[in-house]
Amino acid sequence: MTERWSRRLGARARRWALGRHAPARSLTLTQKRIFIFPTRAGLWFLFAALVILLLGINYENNLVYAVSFVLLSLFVVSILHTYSNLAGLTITALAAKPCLVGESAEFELLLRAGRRRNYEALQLCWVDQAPVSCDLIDDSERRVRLYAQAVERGWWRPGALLIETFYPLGLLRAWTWLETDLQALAYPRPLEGGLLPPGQGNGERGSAVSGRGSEDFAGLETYQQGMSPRHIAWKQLAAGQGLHAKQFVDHADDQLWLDWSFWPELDTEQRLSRLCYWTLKLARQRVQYGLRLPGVEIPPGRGGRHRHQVLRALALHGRASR
Amino acid sequence: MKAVYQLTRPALLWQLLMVVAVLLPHSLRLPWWLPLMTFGALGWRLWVHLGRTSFPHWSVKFMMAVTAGIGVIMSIGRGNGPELAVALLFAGFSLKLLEIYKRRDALVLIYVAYFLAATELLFGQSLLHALYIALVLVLITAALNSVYQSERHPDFWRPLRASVRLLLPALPLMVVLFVLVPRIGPIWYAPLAQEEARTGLSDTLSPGDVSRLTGSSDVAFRVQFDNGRPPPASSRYWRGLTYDRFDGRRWEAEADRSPFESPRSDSGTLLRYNMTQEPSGQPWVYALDYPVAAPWPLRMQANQTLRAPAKIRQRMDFALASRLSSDSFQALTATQRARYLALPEGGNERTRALALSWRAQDDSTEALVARALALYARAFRYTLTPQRLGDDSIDDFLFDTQEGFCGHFASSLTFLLRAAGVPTRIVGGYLGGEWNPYESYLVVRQFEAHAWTEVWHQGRGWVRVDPTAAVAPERIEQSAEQLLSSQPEFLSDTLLSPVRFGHIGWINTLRMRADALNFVWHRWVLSYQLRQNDLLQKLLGEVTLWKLALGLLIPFSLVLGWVALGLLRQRRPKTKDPVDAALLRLIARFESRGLGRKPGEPVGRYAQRIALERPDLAPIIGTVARLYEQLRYAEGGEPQLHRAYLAAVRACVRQL
Repeated sequence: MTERWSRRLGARARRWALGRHAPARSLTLTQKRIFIFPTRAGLWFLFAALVILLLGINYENNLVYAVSFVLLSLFVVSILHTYSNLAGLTITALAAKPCLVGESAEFELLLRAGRRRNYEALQLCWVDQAPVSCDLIDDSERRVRLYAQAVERGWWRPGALLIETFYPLGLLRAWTWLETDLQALAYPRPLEGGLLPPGQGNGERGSAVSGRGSEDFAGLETYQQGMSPRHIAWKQLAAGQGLHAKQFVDHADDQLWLDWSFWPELDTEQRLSRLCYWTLKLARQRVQYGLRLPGVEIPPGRGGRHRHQVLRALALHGRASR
Repeated sequence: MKAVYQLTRPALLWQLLMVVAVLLPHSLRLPWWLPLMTFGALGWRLWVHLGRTSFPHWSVKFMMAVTAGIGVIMSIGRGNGPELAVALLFAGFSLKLLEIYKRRDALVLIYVAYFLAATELLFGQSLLHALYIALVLVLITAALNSVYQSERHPDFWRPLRASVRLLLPALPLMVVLFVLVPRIGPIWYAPLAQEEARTGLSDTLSPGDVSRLTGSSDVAFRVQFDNGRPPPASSRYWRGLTYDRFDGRRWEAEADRSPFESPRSDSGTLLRYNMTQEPSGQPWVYALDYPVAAPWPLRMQANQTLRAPAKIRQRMDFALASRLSSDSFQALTATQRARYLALPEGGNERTRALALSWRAQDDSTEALVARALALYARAFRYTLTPQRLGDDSIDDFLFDTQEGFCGHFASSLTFLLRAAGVPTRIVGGYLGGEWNPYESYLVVRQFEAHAWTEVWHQGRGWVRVDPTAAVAPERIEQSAEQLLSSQPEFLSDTLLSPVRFGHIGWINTLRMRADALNFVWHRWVLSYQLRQNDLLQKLLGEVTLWKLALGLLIPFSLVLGWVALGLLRQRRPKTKDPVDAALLRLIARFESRGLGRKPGEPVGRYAQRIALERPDLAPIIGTVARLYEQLRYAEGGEPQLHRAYLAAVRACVRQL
């Protein structure tokens, strides 16, 4: 019950805090953004100081009074320390990597210390996600990778970013909420199954097409562990140019099309998911493939960039492009 | 989402260190097996940390807790509230060691440690104690910080530095709070058991037994005079009690319930002073002869001595006033007269006979006293190691041994005069005192214990007669130390006491300074509640609530402002690495021309961007970037590469 209330209250405070500032790519934490409040451990600490004060009063012991006052002063001083463990920190949103729905997208942030300052034991997390701790000790900047789970395809924002710290004594929590303008692209969740309809280009071979073949020499690529030793380019190695592997391809004049109309029994989202599954599968097999969606046609191609283009079209089908 | 924090290795070590520091002073007072158990738990926890064993099962812990609890109650007894509570807390504290694994466990341990450190001050309040507890607070705070330090950069020493950085500014704040927060009386009555048997005068005086007080250099009390000057040495008689009843061997103090009548005239100057008495385990309060009034809660008795309502078990302060000259004429009631003439039925016949023969010649009090003093001056010797006296102790002393110290002289004179029909009593107290010039107070030690007599004169009242003065006048004029230091018995209990070496200049200075420090510590810290009102009035004038608040606020904001400045205003980074420093300088130059490096931009890409914007710089910036990357990612910086890089940076700056 209290849990729910505190959650609701927290969400409200967060909305209020975020409403005061517009999303930005880079911002520096100042007193306008930093909130600070005693933690439960801090309240217990004050309670301990109070009990010691009672001890001093009751035994009229001025030294015990002094211990109690030391603890109270420590609390006050640690307010400043906790605050300064966030103040002056600049957070810059660097990049977001695309991901599949249901997986976690990687966001990259850059933390930069304002002046010659150490920031210790900072915790960063997106709303309701696991925190990542980091610090800037003898270091003026540091990249932090944060992960957030995508729920829906298309462009999405991970929500507010929470940066908090309990350093140095855990008596207080200083925190800030900020909305970055980072957005990640979420590809549809792959839906396994189905077959590519036969009869298009290379229908007979179906999904068994292999991009890596043995017929024609296509070029050299850097040798990597696991490649067949038969493909090592000995001539180049002897010439002192390093270890390379000869690349061969099967002639695939066959070009596959992934078409919106393949699986009429599925609804829109499922179709996109099915197309996503096949895109990934064909990309792994290094086949040339193209995509036809209502209003979109991507000619067949290969490679990471092509794959991204296809997946992006799937992700943004029926959505605003930004 | 909540993460569970496990303690890092430095955090665990700090917990263990803190526990040892907190428990060390307590362990001297507790049953012997408790510290042993603590060290067992400590060892077990370390063993767990090293992976040699596991945490004990809950049933084992439960059994240990129950056993320890019963053991503590059995060995301390339920009468001693605070000690029992501390011991129980101590036992729980030790056992909790076997549970610390997560942050929460450590916090429980740390907060209890703060409390235990404070309770230690209930049992000892010396300056050394306070310093030790201050050190313990630093350690506990370091332990608290270690729990919150970054898990990625665990470090053993950083928490200690953080702790000092936090506590240093807390110190002035603490002082402000200490001075300003009003003290209130105890909320409920909670006595502390204290050990008995303090040195000091006892309520019996037996001249036959050797005084044990001359062996001790412990402080009896310290006195600070309002006018800043001590009275002359010959009038430093500190009155504590009177011995009225003699049973043939011992003199006993006997309470006289009748009230004291104030003197009729207020002649002589009034001397006001502050008496700080050490715990004596006795109810009497020493006052300079002759005290004029008893401040609350003391009571003036009929024999003009002060008495506290209870035995003095801790250092106490009293504001007293005295007059050096006696004018306390007071009529003696019949009972009082009988009391001050009372002698045992028989014994000491020779003395009685002597008294009667004197009285037959001249029965005026003055003449009797003069004859007695003349007798002492003629044949007696002052010594701290007299021969033992037989059953008729007064006879033996007066006629055979003829040597002794103040107790012998006072008791024999009293016996003589009473036998001659003059009301007489023995006064017990101290004579003398050493002036401490550093803090302007008089310190009176146990070896200055003294006994003298008071003789009732018709029409004049009680008059002090000190027979010891007749034998050893230097005892009154000089310090007891000077007189007694030739005696083998003197300070025999305290062989290494600094008082023994008082004749060596620098030791004496050191000793005086140390005592002065101790005195100031007591006056201004330990019994601050007595002085708070005066001090606040001196500081603030009339004390009002808003003045107090202001007095609290201004120093607080000053200290906190200073801390904030220190925290927030730090110099720009001084990059230690010359390669990075050169790059930063170069980037700063470009930045001023609107070509700053984007956050997170690799040096190579940045160089390419600049090359596009400033084609004239393309070759040199390309070289800088290439050399930078080589230096950064190549194994070890080769000196040539280093030089080439720096040269390229310089060239680039020139071409700009």
